[in-house]
Amino acid sequence: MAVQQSKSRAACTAARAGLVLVLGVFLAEPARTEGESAPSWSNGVRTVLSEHCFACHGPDPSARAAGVRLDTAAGLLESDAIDLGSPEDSELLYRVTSEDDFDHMPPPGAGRALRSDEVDLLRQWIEAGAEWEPHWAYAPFEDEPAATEPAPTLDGFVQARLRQQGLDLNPRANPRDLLRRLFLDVVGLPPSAEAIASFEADPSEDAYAAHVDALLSSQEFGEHWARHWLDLARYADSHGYTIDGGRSIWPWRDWVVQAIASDMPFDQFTVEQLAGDLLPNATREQRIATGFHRNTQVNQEGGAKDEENRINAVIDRTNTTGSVWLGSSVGCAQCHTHKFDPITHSEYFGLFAFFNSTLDGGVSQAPTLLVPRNSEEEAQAAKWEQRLVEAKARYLDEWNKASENWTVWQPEWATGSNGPELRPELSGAYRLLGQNPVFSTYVLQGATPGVANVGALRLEVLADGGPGRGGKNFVLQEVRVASRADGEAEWTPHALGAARADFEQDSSAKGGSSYVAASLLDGEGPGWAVQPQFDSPHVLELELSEAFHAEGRELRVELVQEYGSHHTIGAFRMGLAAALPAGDGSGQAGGGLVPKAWLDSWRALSQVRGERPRLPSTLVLEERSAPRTTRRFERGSFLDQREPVSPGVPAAMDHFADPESVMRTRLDLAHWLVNPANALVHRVTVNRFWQQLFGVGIVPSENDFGLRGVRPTHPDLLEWLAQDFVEHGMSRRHTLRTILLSKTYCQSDAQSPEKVKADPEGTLFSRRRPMRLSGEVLRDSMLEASGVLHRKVGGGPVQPPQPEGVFSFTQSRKNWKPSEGDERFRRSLYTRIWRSSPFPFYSTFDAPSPGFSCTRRTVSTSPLQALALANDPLVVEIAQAMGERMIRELPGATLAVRIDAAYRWALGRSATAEEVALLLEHAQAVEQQRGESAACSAIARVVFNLYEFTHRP
Amino acid sequence: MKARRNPKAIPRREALRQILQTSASGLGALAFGDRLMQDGFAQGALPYLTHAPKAKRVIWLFMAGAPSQFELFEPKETLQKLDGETLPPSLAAGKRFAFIDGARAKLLGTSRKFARHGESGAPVSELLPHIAGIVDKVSFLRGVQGKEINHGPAKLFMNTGFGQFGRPSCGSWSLYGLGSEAEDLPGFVVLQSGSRGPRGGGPLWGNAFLPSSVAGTPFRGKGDPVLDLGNPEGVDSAEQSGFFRTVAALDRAGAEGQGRDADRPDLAERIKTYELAHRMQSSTPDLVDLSKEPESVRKLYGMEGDGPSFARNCLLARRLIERGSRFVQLYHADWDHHGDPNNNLGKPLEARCREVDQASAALVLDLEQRGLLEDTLVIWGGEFGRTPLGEVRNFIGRDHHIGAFTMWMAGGGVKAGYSHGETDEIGFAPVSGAMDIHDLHATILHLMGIDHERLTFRSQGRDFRLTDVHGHVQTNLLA
Repeated sequence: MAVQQSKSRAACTAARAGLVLVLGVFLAEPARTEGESAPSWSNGVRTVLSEHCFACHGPDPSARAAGVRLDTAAGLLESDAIDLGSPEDSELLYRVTSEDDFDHMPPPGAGRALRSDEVDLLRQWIEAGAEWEPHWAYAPFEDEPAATEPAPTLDGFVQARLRQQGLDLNPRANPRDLLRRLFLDVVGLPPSAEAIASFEADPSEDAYAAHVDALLSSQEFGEHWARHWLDLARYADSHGYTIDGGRSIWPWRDWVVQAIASDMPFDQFTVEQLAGDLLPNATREQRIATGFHRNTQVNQEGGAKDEENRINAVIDRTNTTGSVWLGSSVGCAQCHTHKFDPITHSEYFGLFAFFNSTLDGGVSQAPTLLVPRNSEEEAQAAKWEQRLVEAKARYLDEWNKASENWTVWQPEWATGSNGPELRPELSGAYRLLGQNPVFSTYVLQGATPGVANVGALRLEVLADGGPGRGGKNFVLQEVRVASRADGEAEWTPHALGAARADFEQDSSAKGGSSYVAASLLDGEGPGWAVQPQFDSPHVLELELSEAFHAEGRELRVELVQEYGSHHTIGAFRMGLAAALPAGDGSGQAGGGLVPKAWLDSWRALSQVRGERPRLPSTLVLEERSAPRTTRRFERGSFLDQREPVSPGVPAAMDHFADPESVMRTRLDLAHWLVNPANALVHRVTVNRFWQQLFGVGIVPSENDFGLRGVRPTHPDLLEWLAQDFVEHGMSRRHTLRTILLSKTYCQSDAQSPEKVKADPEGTLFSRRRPMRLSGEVLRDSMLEASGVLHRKVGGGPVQPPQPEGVFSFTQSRKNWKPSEGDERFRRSLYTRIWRSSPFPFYSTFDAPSPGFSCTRRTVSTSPLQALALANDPLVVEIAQAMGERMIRELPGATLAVRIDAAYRWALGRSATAEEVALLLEHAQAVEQQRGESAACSAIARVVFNLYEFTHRP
Repeated sequence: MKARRNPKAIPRREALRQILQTSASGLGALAFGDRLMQDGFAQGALPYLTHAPKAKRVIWLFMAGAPSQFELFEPKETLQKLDGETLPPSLAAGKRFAFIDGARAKLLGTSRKFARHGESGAPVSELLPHIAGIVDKVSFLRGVQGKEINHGPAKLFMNTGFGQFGRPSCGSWSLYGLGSEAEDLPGFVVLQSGSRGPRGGGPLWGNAFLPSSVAGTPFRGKGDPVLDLGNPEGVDSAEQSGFFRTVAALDRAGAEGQGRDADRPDLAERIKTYELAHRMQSSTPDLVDLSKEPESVRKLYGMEGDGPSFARNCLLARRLIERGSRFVQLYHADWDHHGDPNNNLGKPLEARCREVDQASAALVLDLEQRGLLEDTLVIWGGEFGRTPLGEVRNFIGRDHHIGAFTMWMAGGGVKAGYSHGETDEIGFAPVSGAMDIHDLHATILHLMGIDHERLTFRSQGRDFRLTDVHGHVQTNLLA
């Protein structure tokens, strides 16, 4: 066999030892490092082929040229591209070196020719036997970890790599830097001067470990690490797009804080967020958790299509799940099979299908869930929810009794002309959503299961969402009934013989028209309408002149509504029967079609709905009772839906699932994702923890673990961390603790010229690098240093002051009433986020746009940041608070003493004599102009702007 | 020459990397941005710079809400004749409209009078007398086609080539590719006039996955143009200078005191950005201080007072590009004339035209007088056009139309007195010169010396471009 799948551990290790360092987005990834071990599939070959060949000879069958596929072992074998007997005669080598324009690959105009080193690499690989290996990220964990003595440690992996470059870790950072780093990384707040002083007195490993454990058990840890998760979840307090109305989903944010603070295992954390509603006896908390995927945007613009909105949300959920758990750009496969990664176009819709059966969609916020804040509210909510369940049940019961002689008809097709959406509901009713056209004809068409002979139709127009759209009148002008035999093209019309309704609008006495049911029979009258009885269901029953045998036939009913403007039905249900049931028992014509019990049950239900407790609520996911059929969208367009696709996961990532089991629901997907054997997900997860602490991941392309991503700088370390994470119950706290206690984490940021040369980007972790704090952590640090931080955990969003005019660039101006008192000084996590105009102080410091999942914040340096930190009213206000603290806590002290205090509060150290002198000159000048309190604020403003304050060591 | 290289495979070179990293941002970032364009092209350092640029900067007059081409630029005899008839079914089939019922709505002629202007004889209606006066300096694009029928997604598409959030804007791509020549002003500025900001907000000029330094900087119409530009309350310029001086001195002292190298790049970079910020505090107010503009210029633009207006923004745009900004975008709101009492093709349309007509033309004339028009591209248009059908509403109005609409461009290497494309007899679809928004973007980048297929950025495993996998340069437009 010319190409073999490598199974030996030795081969894998050899491949990994020759890993490539890749330094950032601007640089080309060298195929491999000069002078490294022999090329292998993973070490260089795949990269070269991926860059030059896979676009036409890769996973995408529609793009595949000449049927040649080079990304799989089978494809390489079939293509005969490689001749092991005579490597130099291999077709692959001939093609990339040929001077014949016709034979040369990539073809002229389609890509650049391979460099000679790239050709050499392919040649060496073929000469060595052309072994193929699966992509590292999708490969399972090794079964038997190599038995090494002593047991592997995190530092061991890092040091082994450094030794290859003749380097070692830096010594431990000084106690102050180390403690500041630890606090800012774990809880997002600086340590107090006292904590630093005591750690400086006893900087032992035990003292450090005690800090690590205390911090990882704190609420503040939950808050700070929730912020990272919120970036991934594209969290905001508004709907997005142009209208960007407010929404209440902060209870989900609080759920994340608590889950992280209590170290909820990552598998549970995943399952509850993706599918908490599908767990048996789901608790309120588990349902709140599903808000993760309600952080999608809603276009509330007039003219927006509900179905388009809904599908955009499902696409977002699919892509976000791919980014967050699979570290993969599955979204690339939305329009076509992925060009580089083994995800087919159909597999994309397999993932999509898991998310395609929720009830939410369109401009409505439903479903939402009440969120009680205490036991009293809990009781109140539970009681009301119970009443609602009962009232709904009674209403459904009475409704069904009223139509017990009828079979509910929910045909395969239900559409409305001019754009409205007929959304089917569990009861078999249709609710009209989306566009509200001037005229519309609703068309229902399909088989009539359970009704062998069709002789009568019953139209129930519901008060719940009706009778007309907007709760007003409708005018049903004409009802056309037709049928045809299966496979026939022509429709046979069925004439109406009789009509009766529970209520008819008859204005003839006042000189108006008679909108009576009978007018539907001759087609001459204006049609049927119900003014003024809008708060009641209404029923129309029609008898066909002649019943027909419906088996093997398709029925079509058209409800024509072209009267006036916007007089269309808002919600209805259709029933069928062999004949009109005899008599209605009432003296008046049609008076018994809506029995009193049904009407009463409807009124009772409306009343319960009106009495919904005024408690906070949150957006949640809920599943339809019957799943939607997912179809593949040709070229990603939902207007062009093709063959049905079942829920499923990409085959290339699925090496562990039980082939017998069938995955159907979000819950199945969630369980698959966090299966202990799903190495990819655990690699992605621990890599993200590492990235959060070091600024760059072990896999620097944290959002692309695919074939074109950057390979891990320390593959053994990544495997070890991921397996250790799984073995320790997927505990976030455990893995963070392991990293935080390592020498690699604790080393200093000193940089020698040789380290800069050998490890320019710091991806070998030969030293630490200071990182600029996020806007949120900066603000929290200022509040903490000034002694005004309000530590209340959770609750609705708050509004710290922001500059005037922030909303002048958005369509609808938002009300930004700054919070008062303590609420003004809550942690930044709780600041309200409008998608169209996020809080400017945070955005300026690279807070991500909440429009899409952000897996890593960029860190830029810009003069706008300097302006914000120097001049923003928010900073000035907190500087004043610190100035007041100086005066309050150090009454009568000199400016020099107060400068020293400001340094201790903000930086945890005393100011040097030189620093005091420099700052004193400025403070004194301010004091002369504007007095003592302004001078104290001025000191604080300077300290907040120092590099040492704005950077984590 | 060897076969054309595959843009996907071309690394962005060390040169650019250094430039972008040492330059803090679009703000004064690439002081040598102009050299970059010339030398980058000449030396082949940046593979996407494939030819000498014609447009060194762009001013985009964005008519938010979508003006009606039928009232302004597209007189159609047949449409006038068929006024009141329904749309031929052959045209209505399969089309999506936002609000109207395509099968039932009636064709709508215009009540506006048209005349042919200039040597080119381009038709412009009575509503735009000043723009009518510059038609010989302009290329009309009559067959532009969109993909999104609602305002938010369509504005995103017009700016980012994609109908949802998540892609960088055209201005951000330009700044990313070319940097800015502005010393102490933003390289990409957004100005807004009218009753409110454009639908979509920040993402319309957002950087998405590009460095945040290339995001558009919105200038506000009132108060300080940039957030936090003014000193804190009570702080005078002497105190502010003392503040900046003290921060810089303490940063150096702190580094040395803590045993760190005060010359390390991240610290040096930061000190530089603080200096720049301080400079901006004086340069930006100077920029927006229009009192120094002579009365003749203010009159040319039709400015009435110094309050926020489209005219003021046009003048500001000229001042920005004179100072080196690369990309300036002006939004003017409320062109969404469906036929509501406040949004219809009667008085509201007349008011919008009055607000933008004179200043749009004045900008072109002023740039020309200053010798700037030849290398400044001016773009005028909305996010889509309006239907040849009227809406059934209380006032005269038209629905959103993406099948064909009109934009115009001037200067920056496009033909003068030219008309690109033609629509059918009722203006429903192009019969020639159809171009979609990717084509528009490809052409804009081409005019700036950029090959739109080669200006890429890798994110989430993909090489993204402004034009996605589409876009054809409209060579007919090139002068």
